[in-house]
Amino acid sequence: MIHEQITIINKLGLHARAAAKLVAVTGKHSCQIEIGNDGKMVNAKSIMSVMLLAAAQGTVLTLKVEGEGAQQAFDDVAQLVNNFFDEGE
Amino acid sequence: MNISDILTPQRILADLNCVSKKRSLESISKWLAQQMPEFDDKQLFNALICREKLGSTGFGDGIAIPHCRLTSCTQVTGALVRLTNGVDFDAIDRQPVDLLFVLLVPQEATDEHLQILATLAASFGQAEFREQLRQAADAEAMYQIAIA
Repeated sequence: MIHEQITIINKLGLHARAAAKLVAVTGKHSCQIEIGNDGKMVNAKSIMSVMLLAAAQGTVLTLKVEGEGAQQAFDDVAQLVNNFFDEGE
Repeated sequence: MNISDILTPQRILADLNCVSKKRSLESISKWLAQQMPEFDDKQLFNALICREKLGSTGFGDGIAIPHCRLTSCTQVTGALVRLTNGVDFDAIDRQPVDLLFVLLVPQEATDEHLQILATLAASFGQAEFREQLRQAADAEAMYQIAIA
């Protein structure tokens, strides 16, 4: 199981479009993916759940990935987040 | 932040009959502009459509949260619309949409925007909440459910 922290760096944070992109990436993987912070971990494949986090720029989130292809799934999510969700800022 | 902070009973439309995503956003824009003279219906429609082109706000389970940032918008404003028939909204789960929560956001309200999205997700993410809105007799009943 992968259990890593990841920081939201894009200006707008995990707003609806970013959340949709995240879910598009996580949905391609069959492994179980959860995202959140200590108190609240949610299903990273559900856009409504991801939006619940209201994660603004600078928020440190925990990513828990378990199952087949976990490393690839984690890498894909990390790439999206670290690439500012392709928003350029 | 609560739904009651951004929604009024006047900004609920219980039974809008539309054949498409585009028509529904057009009708909603006209209806909202009639109530709020600070918004121009064509400008509103264009802003909502532009946002949809970046990716559908149909978030699954028949729910869409069309939204846009507007310079003419001074506070986050919500409106709730129920369609008589579900329309194709290019939704994430490809299911038709029949409940729309329209969100108009000031240009710079980033954190507030995230907070209200979280509030809406908490409510609309619940099957019971969605079904209550679908079963509600009229706009007033929908309002009471939405702000409960």
